[in-house]
Order: sequence, then structure tokens, then C-alpha cells
Amino acid sequence: MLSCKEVSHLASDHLDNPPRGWAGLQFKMHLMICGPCRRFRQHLVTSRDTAARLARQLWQEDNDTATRILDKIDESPGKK
Amino acid sequence: MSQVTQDDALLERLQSGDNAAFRDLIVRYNQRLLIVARAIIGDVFAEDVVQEAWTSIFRAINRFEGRSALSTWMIQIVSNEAKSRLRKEKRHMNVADTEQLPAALAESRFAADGHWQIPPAHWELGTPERLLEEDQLRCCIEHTLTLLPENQKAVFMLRDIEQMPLSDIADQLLLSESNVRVLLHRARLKLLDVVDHFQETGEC
Repeated sequence: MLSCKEVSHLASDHLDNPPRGWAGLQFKMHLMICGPCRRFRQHLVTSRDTAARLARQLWQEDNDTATRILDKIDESPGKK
Repeated sequence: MSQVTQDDALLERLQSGDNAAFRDLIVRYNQRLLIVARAIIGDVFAEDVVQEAWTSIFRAINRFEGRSALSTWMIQIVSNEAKSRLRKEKRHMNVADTEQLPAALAESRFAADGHWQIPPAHWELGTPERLLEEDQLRCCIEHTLTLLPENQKAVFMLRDIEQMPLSDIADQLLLSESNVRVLLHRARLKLLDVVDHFQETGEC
């Protein structure tokens, strides 16, 4: 049986690679009987999704930088 | 509209010769391409590398056949430019961050038998929609995203925004797949900590 500490270490990786076989069964069984670990996993998903949404908005470039990049493309040799 | 749908519409405009579309592409993706370049070659050369990549993208966009997502294709171009510059500069990637021990929650949260001593608390704000309504929390998360080490930021962006497979992320960033996993776990735990602290205290 996995401990809560082990489950917390594995939780992120298992979001990307859901485990199969015995490892997957152990992980699922632990989550079935352990409320705090289910909550931890849910917190991990919620905070990940929240940050990803915000990052999509945050990591946009401003128009001045876009203009500078376009100007440099215009000046580059071999520009069509 | 999903990112893929937005990119499809943008690609159609790009390939039909709409000049404003390339500006829109830069606005949407320049920061993300810089994150990838910084993770590979560091801050000093990243802007140069991304400028070169934009020139390559501009020249090749009409030949893009859509065999991968537009963003994946552009990330591949910037990754290749950065790796090529890395070879020229004969610099070595700073791997210090990946050499540390794997990220973990504080030991004090667990009892000696590995079970929770301080279990996760109930969150009043339980969905991304509700969380993003809190201006102060938005600032906290923005701050954390900005301060993430470059390789954690790149791995988080490529996996949790671009949905790229871990093996592809490892190839793009010159990392092992196990290091990608550790970096991703570490980034997610930091973001979880920020939200958790806000839920408990109402501040960063």
C-alpha cells in the first residue's frame, strides 16, 4: 500500500502518465480510501489549470515589440 | 475559441497574405518562444535567437503544411535556432536546477509513517473561474509565474499550455524525460502553494 507521502510525490506525474497495471491499481486504491490525497490531487489540478489560463493571458507580447520584430524581418537579407 | 481553432483561423489569414496576421502571430507567441529560447540558451542570447526564428517562420509560413500544430512547428524552429546558437557559443546549459533533489511537499506535513500530519485544507474557491475572479490572487500567480526558473517555466508552458508530450518537451529543451517530470512537478507545487496560502490567509 502506498503512503500519502508517496502518493503526493507521484500525483503530478500521474496527471501526465496515468499508471497502468499494479502501480495504477495501488494509486487508485489509495485515492479511493484517502480523502486528503483526493483533495491534494484536486488542488494540484485546479491550481495548474488556473495558472495555465492566467499564463495564456499574461504571456502575450505588446504591439511595440511586435513592430520591432517586423522591422527587423524587413531589414533582413533575402526578405521576400 | 480554443487555441487550435484560433491558430487555424490565423493560419488561413497568414497564408492568404494578410499582413496584419503575422503581427497577431507575434503578439500571441513571442513571449512563449522567448521562454523556450531562455530555457535552452539563457537570457543573453534568447532575444536574438527568437528574432532569427521569426525571420525563418516568416519565410516558411506559406510552406507550412499543418502536419503538426502551428505552435509546435514554431517551437521546433526556435528550439533548433537556440540549439544551433548553443553549439556556436560553445556554452553549456545551466543544469543546476535539475540537479537538485526532486521537489516534494514539506516533510513536516507527513507523519513518520508517511501519512498526512497536516492534510490539505478545504478550498473555499474551488474552480479556476472562481479563483481568477480574485484580483490579488491573480497578482500572486502572475508573480510566481514570472519568478519561476526558466526551465520550470518552459516545461510548464509546453506541457500545461501547449499540451506537448513529455518526450517532445525533453527533445526541445535538451533535457532528460525524468528531469522534465521533476521540473513540471516543482512548478506545479509552487503554483499550488500560492493558491493554498491565499485560500488560508487571503493574501500572497
